[in-house]
Amino acid sequence: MASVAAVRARAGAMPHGDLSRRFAENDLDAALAEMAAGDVDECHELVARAIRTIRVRPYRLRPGEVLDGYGPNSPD
Amino acid sequence: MSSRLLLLVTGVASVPFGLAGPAAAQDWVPAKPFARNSPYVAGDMHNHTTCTDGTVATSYLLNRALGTGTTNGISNFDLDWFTHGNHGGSGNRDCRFSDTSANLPGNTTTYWTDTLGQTIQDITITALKGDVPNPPPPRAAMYRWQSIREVEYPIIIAKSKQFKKVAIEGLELIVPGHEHSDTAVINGQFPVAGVGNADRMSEFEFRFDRADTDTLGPVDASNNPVWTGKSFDNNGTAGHAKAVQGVTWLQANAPLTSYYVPTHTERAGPFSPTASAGYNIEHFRDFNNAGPTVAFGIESPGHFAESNHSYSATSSGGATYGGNGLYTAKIGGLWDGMLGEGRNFFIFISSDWHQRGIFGARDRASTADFFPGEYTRLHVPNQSAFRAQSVLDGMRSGNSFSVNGQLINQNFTFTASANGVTRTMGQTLEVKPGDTVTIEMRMVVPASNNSPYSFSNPLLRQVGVFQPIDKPVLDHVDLITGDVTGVIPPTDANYAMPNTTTTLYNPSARIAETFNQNNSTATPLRNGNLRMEFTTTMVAGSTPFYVRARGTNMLPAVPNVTDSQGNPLADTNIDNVVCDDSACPAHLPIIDGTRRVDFDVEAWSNLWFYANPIFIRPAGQPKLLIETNADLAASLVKTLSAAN
Repeated sequence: MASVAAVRARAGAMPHGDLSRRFAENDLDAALAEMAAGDVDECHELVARAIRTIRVRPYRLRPGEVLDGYGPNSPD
Repeated sequence: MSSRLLLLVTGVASVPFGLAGPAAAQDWVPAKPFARNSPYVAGDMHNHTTCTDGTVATSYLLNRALGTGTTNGISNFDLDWFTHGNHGGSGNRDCRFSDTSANLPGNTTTYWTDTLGQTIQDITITALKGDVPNPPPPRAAMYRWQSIREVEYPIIIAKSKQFKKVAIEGLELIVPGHEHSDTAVINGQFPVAGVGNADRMSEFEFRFDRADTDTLGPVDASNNPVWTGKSFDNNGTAGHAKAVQGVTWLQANAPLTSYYVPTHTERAGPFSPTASAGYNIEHFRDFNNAGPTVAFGIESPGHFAESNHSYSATSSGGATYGGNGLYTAKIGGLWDGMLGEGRNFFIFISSDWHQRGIFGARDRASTADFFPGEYTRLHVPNQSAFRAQSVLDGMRSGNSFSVNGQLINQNFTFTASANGVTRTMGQTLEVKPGDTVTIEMRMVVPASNNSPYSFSNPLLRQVGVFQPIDKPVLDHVDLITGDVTGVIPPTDANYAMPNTTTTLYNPSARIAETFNQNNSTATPLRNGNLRMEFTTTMVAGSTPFYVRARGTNMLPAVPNVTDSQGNPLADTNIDNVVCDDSACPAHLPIIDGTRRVDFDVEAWSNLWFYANPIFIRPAGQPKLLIETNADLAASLVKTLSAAN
């Protein structure tokens, strides 16, 4: 299993506005929270999902699209 | 039937389990709570904060779950009751603060080591207790037995008083030998007089959570451990034995004031004799045998906005089905197997809230979870003096139903009647062979739900139905029956029966009747809601049986969603459905060049509810286990009341 730091570095190499990067980094944040809470299996699953997201890049904004949180203070 | 009459029906139905615990001085909860005047009240029992692996502070979670209206433009979800079910083990973050990732003003990720000695929300933590810091400094963690009683419980009580609603400190136990289980031990939390505590909840976590590695626990004035004898057999068959010991501990120490409800029960796959993995049917049988009044069901997956609801291909069933696990969703499957024994074994639902994925806590979109009450609601009977004990009594009784996406609301009736006697969910109607049993259902479909999306439901568009996602219509309700053939003893070869997607634990289970707009009565209400009523009859034979119900907004034979009988298909198939409305949100995945239905759009599009069973037993036949366990609860009420 790749370390969270190594996968984060791979995510960090993606363009800043890449939506798949955002998904991957969110999974890595959650993986660290799971590890801190003692759930190693869940941590591994989240890291694996982040790796898959970085590889496949299924999330992306089309030209002109914006990410809409459907509420105030959307992160974007 | 008026709401008042509905309440009376439900109230009568709850008598065998009502008033189970000692009276509690919850003076902050009004005697006539919620002004709902409805037969059921809605809650949630499984949710997380930064004390474990969630993203928001404990107080923020309760504000959103129990608050009404909006706060600074952000919707609250107005639940009637709330049980905090955070993981066991340990956590290094201070859950008086939300994570930076939650994107809440003024909140940054804060660790216990940042706040030691400070008084925050009237709570002062001076030391991280237990044997050794876990993990070691600089971000040492607090064991959960400490945060349960010193941090979460005081916040829970403060919020209960603020909102004048029932709030309980519970736990999502990380189960030895298995995955997780929702639990609560309310002993001491709501004293008749004086200050309460969550010490029994804390002790249970220390003793029986496999992620709690602390060997010490709290100490007395002489520095001697208070809770001795903890076992560290946490995996495989030995771990399961420890799990059963945990249930036995609850049955002995809190037979009417605790519950043990395994959750997302299929997610970790089948049981492993050498590791900690999932559950098979024999493990639920073991729990119910060891804890007849505390281990009475299982809970749905939660994580409803997450892709595949956190279930991977290695889960039992390989996926979720209409948002539920295989054990619940498959007719004739595990749930029907347990009911076919006549067991008191019920289905529950909760949010399993952690976070909103790539979105912040105030956003309405989600790629992970929903807040308690936002999407998922577990309904238990209302009472004129609703207390924490009422939640546990309602759950134990089986008189409850579980709803996703506000497909139906709390005004629900599901009864079976014969010879002037009426019974509801969790109860048993005694009849003579040949008697006509009348089944009645009444429900209210709200005009709209909490969905942020109003474009046409992409699943239904496949079959030419154009229905706004935020205005779901109940398409049909299935009445599902199954024969009861008796309790399978542990010595029986079929007691430990492996599970596959094709396993039938109760081959007699079937859809007995389906109600839709062609054979029901629909009455528009002035507020835009729709009341639906169904009545049918069945003729009792010589074999005991049960009737349960499920409903959905999905038609039968919706491609990738339901089969020709209306059964939910594996939710992984929904990845095949294109979301091509111009309003489809940009966070949905793109596969082969087209945006697909996933995350919260999938959750709001594919809605189901499940109602617990009513049993029908021919007179003269031995009582079913559900009846004898109800009798046990009733006798415990008398015994404990006399002792108090």
